[in-house]
Amino acid sequence: MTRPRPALLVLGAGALALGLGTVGIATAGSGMHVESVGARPAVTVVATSPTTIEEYDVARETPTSPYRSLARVDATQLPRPDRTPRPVGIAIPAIDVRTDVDIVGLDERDRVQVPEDVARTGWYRFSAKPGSGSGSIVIVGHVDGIDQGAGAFYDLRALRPGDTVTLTRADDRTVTYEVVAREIFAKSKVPLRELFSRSGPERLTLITCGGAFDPASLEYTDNIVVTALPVDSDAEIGKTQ
Amino acid sequence: MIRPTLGRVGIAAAALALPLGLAAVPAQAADMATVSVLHAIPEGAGADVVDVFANGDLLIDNFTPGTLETVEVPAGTYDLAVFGDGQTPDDAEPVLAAEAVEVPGGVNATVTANLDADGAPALNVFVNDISAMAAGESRLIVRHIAAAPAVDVLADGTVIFADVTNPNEGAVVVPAGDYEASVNLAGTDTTVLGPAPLMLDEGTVTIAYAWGSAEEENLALATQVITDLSTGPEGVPAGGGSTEQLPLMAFGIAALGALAIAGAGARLAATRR
Repeated sequence: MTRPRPALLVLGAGALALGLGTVGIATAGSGMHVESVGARPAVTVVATSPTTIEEYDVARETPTSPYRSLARVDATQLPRPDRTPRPVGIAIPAIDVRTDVDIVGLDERDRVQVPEDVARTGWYRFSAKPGSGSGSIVIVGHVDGIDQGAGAFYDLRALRPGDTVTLTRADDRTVTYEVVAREIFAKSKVPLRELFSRSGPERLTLITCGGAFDPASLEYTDNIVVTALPVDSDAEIGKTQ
Repeated sequence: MIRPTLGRVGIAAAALALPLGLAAVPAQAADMATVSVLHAIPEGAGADVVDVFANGDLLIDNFTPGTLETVEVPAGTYDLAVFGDGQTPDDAEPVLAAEAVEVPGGVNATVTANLDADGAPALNVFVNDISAMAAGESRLIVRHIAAAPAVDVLADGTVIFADVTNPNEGAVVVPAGDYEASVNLAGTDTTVLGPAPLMLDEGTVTIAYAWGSAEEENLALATQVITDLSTGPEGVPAGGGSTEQLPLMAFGIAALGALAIAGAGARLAATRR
């Protein structure tokens, strides 16, 4: 029998490696495969009139009136700073998450800052606060870091409708939310205005990254979004403290 | 928060003279419009309780100073009339009236019943800018509808609108946050209103009205807020890729493989010679 020529062996190994590598590229991100489940409550983002609506009898209007009163307010009351305590902690038992919530704002490109320590999460400072009764409370967390491994929200993709999330506020009161939807969006298709809207019912919006990691842009292709509605609280929902 | 110093800006727009015909209409303009009415005639000036009629139909009932009512109305042309409590177009002359006010579909406007610079009752119509704002921003609009001379409007001690006269307005977009607002007689350090804490919320239009009468010493601030006008942030970058090493590793393996093939091919070609 003839001994295979070393160059042929190298050629074979090379072809195998090329094949494996190509398969590797094609399936990259398969570990992140996530399907959307459940549904967010519909929120129509429209300019809304004042929030300090006093008890007002609209029944006075005749049924034939072409006009519809939306609100009557005491305009001499100046808007006051919202004193509802912000969230400081988050617990998601289903995925064994219990961590701190920092305050985050915007980066130089008007994107939401995410805490550099991937073990922590951030409450978007322009979003609603737990127990305020309306609007989206947005908490962001890394799926992973460049060199820190898995982040606090690594397993957000595994949450299912019915799982619970408990926020602890700065006044130590808690509000518990139940997941109603887990969605995945290509980053160019994320409905940011709805997710961050201050209108509509109080809801908790958790956001992290998902999809495939693009080594060129150093970013993931998708966002994973979990929406949860309040189910239990020892704070008075809808009453600012 | 980082709060850039507010720049001094001129008066962005004068109060619109009636009619409203040239008002900018948002793209989603429907056949309805949102009209707010502010009662800004101080008590004791003969309009303590009034009813407002539009085209002969009751628009607002039992309206008192300092209150603001927001009403949805079909787009159209309106004759507005303010009557003393209980009086109607059938049996009395209006206290105040404005004819042929054009209200285009989709517009958001505020009608003020106020005193003019000389203290006489007047109706003014303002179009509210409800265009969307970038994340973190807030819009402040200031309107002079008081029986008072020209004023400067200050935020955190800096003049942001200079020499505003009745019935004019100024508008500016600022970083959302808590400010201290005050009103000085124009060009002087004489403060006639405030300083008062003013929360300018993100994505919110806050309209501050200076109303009342300097002579009667009842100058006051009133506010109207219109919320949820933020576009939201530009995105959420929440991953660094360390749990997804496969692609980088795969690129490496594939590259090695390609190199090996090229090398081996070259050697084979060479040995066949």
